[in-house]
Amino acid sequence: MSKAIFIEPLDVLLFREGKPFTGGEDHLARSIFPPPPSTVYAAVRSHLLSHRFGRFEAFKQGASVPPDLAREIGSPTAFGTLELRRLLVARRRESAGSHEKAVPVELLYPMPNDVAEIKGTGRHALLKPADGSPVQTNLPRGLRPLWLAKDVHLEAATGWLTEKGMQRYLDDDAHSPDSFFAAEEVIAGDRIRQAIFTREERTGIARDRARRSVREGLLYSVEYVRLKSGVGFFAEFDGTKLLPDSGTIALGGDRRPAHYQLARVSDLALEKIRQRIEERRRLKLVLTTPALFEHGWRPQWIDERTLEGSRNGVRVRLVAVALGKPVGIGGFDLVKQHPKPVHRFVPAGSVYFFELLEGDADAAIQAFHAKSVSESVETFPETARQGFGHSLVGAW
Amino acid sequence: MDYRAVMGSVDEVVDELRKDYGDDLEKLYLALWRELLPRLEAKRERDGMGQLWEVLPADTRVPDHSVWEHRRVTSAIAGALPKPAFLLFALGPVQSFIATARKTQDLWAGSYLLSFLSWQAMKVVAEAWGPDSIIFPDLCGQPFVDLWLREEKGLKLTEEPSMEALSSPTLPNRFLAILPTDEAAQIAQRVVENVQDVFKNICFTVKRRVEQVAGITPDDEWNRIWQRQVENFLETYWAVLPWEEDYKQFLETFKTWCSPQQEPWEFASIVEQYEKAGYTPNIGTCYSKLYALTERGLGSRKATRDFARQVEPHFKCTMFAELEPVHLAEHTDFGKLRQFWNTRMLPRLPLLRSGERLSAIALTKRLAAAYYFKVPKSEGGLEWNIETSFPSTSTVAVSSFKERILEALSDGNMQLFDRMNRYVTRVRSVLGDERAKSAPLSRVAEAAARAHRRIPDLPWEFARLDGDWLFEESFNKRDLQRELIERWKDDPAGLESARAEVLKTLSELLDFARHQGLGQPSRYYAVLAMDGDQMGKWLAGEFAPHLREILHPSVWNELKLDGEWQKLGEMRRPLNPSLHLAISKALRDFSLSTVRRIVEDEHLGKLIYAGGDDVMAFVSLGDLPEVMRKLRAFFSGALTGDENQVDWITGSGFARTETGFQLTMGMAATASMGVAIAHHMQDLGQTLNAARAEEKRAKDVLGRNAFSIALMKRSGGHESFGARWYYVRDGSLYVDTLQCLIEWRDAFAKDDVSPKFAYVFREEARALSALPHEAVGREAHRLLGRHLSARLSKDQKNELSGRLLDDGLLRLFESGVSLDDLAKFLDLAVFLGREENR
Repeated sequence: MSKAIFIEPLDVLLFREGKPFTGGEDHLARSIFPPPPSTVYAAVRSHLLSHRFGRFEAFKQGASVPPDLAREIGSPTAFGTLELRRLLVARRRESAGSHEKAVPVELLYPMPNDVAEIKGTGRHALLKPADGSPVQTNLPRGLRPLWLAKDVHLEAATGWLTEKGMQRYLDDDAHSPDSFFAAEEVIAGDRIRQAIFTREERTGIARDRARRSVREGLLYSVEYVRLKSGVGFFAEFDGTKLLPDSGTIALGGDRRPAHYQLARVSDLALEKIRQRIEERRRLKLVLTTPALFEHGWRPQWIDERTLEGSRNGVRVRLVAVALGKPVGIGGFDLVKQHPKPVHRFVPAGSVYFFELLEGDADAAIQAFHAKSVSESVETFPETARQGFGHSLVGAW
Repeated sequence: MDYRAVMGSVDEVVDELRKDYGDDLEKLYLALWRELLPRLEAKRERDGMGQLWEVLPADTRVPDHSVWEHRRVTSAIAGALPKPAFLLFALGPVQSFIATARKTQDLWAGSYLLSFLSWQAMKVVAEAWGPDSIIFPDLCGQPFVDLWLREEKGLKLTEEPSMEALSSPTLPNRFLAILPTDEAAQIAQRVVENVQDVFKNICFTVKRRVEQVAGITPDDEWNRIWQRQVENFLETYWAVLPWEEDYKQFLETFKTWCSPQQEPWEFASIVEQYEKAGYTPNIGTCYSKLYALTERGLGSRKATRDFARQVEPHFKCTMFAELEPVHLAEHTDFGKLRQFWNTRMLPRLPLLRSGERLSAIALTKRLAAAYYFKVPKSEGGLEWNIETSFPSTSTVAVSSFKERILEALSDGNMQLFDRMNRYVTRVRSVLGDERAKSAPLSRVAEAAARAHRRIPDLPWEFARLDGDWLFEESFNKRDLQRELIERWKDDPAGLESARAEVLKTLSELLDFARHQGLGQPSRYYAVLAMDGDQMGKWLAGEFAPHLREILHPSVWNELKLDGEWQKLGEMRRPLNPSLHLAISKALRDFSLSTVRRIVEDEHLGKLIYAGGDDVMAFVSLGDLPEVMRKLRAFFSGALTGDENQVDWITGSGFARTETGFQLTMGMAATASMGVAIAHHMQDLGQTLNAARAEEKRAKDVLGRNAFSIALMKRSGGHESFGARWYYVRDGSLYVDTLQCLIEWRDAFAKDDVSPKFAYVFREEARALSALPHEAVGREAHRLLGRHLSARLSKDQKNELSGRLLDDGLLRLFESGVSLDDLAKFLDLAVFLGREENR
């Protein structure tokens, strides 16, 4: 039922921000990267439809599709069993032989928000929730500040962590006293352009269709994303038997083509994480894709007053949160020809720090690791199914 | 100088204040804060103090800050005793306020609103504990504050803030205050509440007005959208740090929370040396560390950007992509929504443009000036006299052309008058007054005022035309038909013939201008963004001078004989509150007066924002290098003489003013600048981002104290040239980069050098780079020789190539600027030297 694929674009990609594109001035449509998982979910869902049925318009109007397909993709108004379990930027492993059926890829993780860069050095440090800080702030009640007890200038870190970097991060295992990561474990700054993607702006002109001429005075630019060779998306799907082992899908704006094939990845080692959680009775959740929560930044199962909550028999107390700027996610409903409502999501890379009150490390990992914590609301259903809120468990 | 005369002035001023304010202690206190110095300065001729009143040292042995900073900080701390605390507050989201802009008008409005809300935050503190308790920014003389002192506090300030001053955003989005520990957190909470309340009030005043003007009967849907968007928009962050009484204990606390990265810890050694030298340190000695810890606290607060749930259904605002445009319940689909905006809102709200559909936040940004700040108090507004229209990008682009035309008109060129008259009349008849207008730049308005003395009205009307209307392509038939549908609905055919007329009069005007040597209007303009380098470290005292440098020389000559003092002399002076305030004050003078004077009075430019060390402005290309160079020089006082000549090496660190000295950041401070030169139709957000990106490049890639200019040609291609402001060799100035650019620009403009030189140089740059330096010089001379104008004499040619190459370009090359970059430098000079861009 589960299928892991590696999607590689054949050309540039376009993941447009939500800004309308009208008016009498020059415009730039910017791209966001990586795209929300729902973009990839929708692309694969459409792919199944076109592969097995082929008539999008008919599907939209409620024509009956083969039952095995309907089971997986659902109807124009409801989701089927297809589920996006994981979506990450990934790159081919260098040793990858082309004869293998499943291409081996390395996963790249969005930089967690509790990592800070020591300004001007390119080195990174890990912030920890602090107890009894002398500085009082207007943090939400009960939350502790995230702190590094060194007299250095810090700034927000951006970029990606390699698999080794993520393992080190979740293990809470510093590379050296000066630098939490080894240099090659972080892809940030200029290295992003060398190793992951570049932005390309293309300028077009507004054409007057009636007169078949160029309209004077209007230029528009569209920003595309060009992934480096060997870089793509790793997506793990569940609930599908029909998805072929390889094929071409149309991804994002302009329906740009991308090829996919089966992929395999190595799993994160859990032993050290488990051991540390057991010893320290503390754990953290890091989101690798954006998550929707009913109460904005706060998951609904966490009590507002006590900051305590239970999930799958594990009882925890929230003590700190490293939250990035919320992202608005909506999109366009092709079937209804109507924009979907925009919701504020907690961005990927955000980290929730917990104390473990009841349950052991195994139970905690069972409850949270490689699961979706995203919640769904009536106006934005099935966020977990679409790949939102995928989280990993780490020690702190 | 007569000591008695000086003290006589002090007595007189105190008497005057007493006479003006009687026993009203609050007024007296506010007057001492705001009026004492200007009143004393007014007596400078009589008491012989001349320009010295402002720079009187607080301590003659350590003359690094004035008595004015000293007394204000003392007053701030005295008010907060026995246990003072820091409050650091920040307001956001800055990006959404400022960069989310489709028009220059929105850009100004966003910064203005943010600056105003920032003042509303500070006002809570000023009301509760006095304006002196705010250390950063320096509020003294800020237009919002002066208005508050006059109108709400009853001070008799002689000058009302000018319309210009009151219309400009000059306050940063954060402040630092010293407050009593017991009350600091409470006050912070009140600050948050007040900012939210004021913002709501502004939004809902705009809302009511929109309802009135557009004839909307609000329903639940309409109200809900406003409520939801307004409530969730602002972000407020604060941090409070109480000052521990025992400084030794605080140093321990600091070590626990910010473990020093040096061994031994210099700061602790200084404090120790103080003790040994017989000074008694106290918690104030640890000021810089208290401040550093507070900054860290706020930084950590911002790492948790908590937010409430917000769902924005339906279609998207054309300014804020994540918000819904306001509408009524009946506008359920896109067609109805569009119709509502096109037929109800657009015709009744002249500040909207066709195709726009705005959220509550965007509407507030667009309309707050007209519907809140200027509105009578009886209708819930402020009744402020502010300039609400802001020049468009094309208006900035064409400003130097307009200035030349107006000058020529002043000189009585009657043929020009005829052509201008026909053109202006036609433009206004096609477009109507409202659509044709844009605010002129100050210098253009001045030129119009001069011409007006000779020829009434026409100069004004010409000055006020939007720059767009000097370009043929702006009179695109289809766009005009769409935009002017209401105006011409009774006579659609009339629009076409009027359009033909206006195009004819425009080309007559432009042709005439060319023949008269008045040039052509430019389609390009520049945005500049400047920022002090490493201001965080300045404010944390990391760049403070060594103690021996700030002691009075005669004091140091005595003390240096003592071994303990000798050690101390080599240490950095810990940041103290007066020094902190002196920095605030230098930045205040820079942002409140210097920047405006340079950008708007002395040159063709318009300030978008100037607060603290941060400056953003539009500049006409004709003045760009001059403006850049002056801004940087005035930032650190790299100036000499009464005329403020730029002097990068031996500048005084002060700027001379008509009445005295102005404090600057000082010669050790540096600043970097990014510039984007863009076509007036280029997406504004993109242009602003480009300017910021160039600023970042100047800092990160070029190593600070540098500038970088991106030339974004509309034909595509985006090239940037960056370099240090100047290069030094053997302790003296080797080359002044912008001065060199100016000389090349002028040489191209005068046709002394053919623009082909730039092209040939670029072609050869790669081949040249393999050659030894000497050979490069020879080859450059050979190439230039072939491109010098034939009308120059041999001597002139020699002088020119010596100045342009030996003292200019080749010195940049020797200083490490690559040939490839020099090719870009020349391209830029050619571009700036073109007829229309001068």
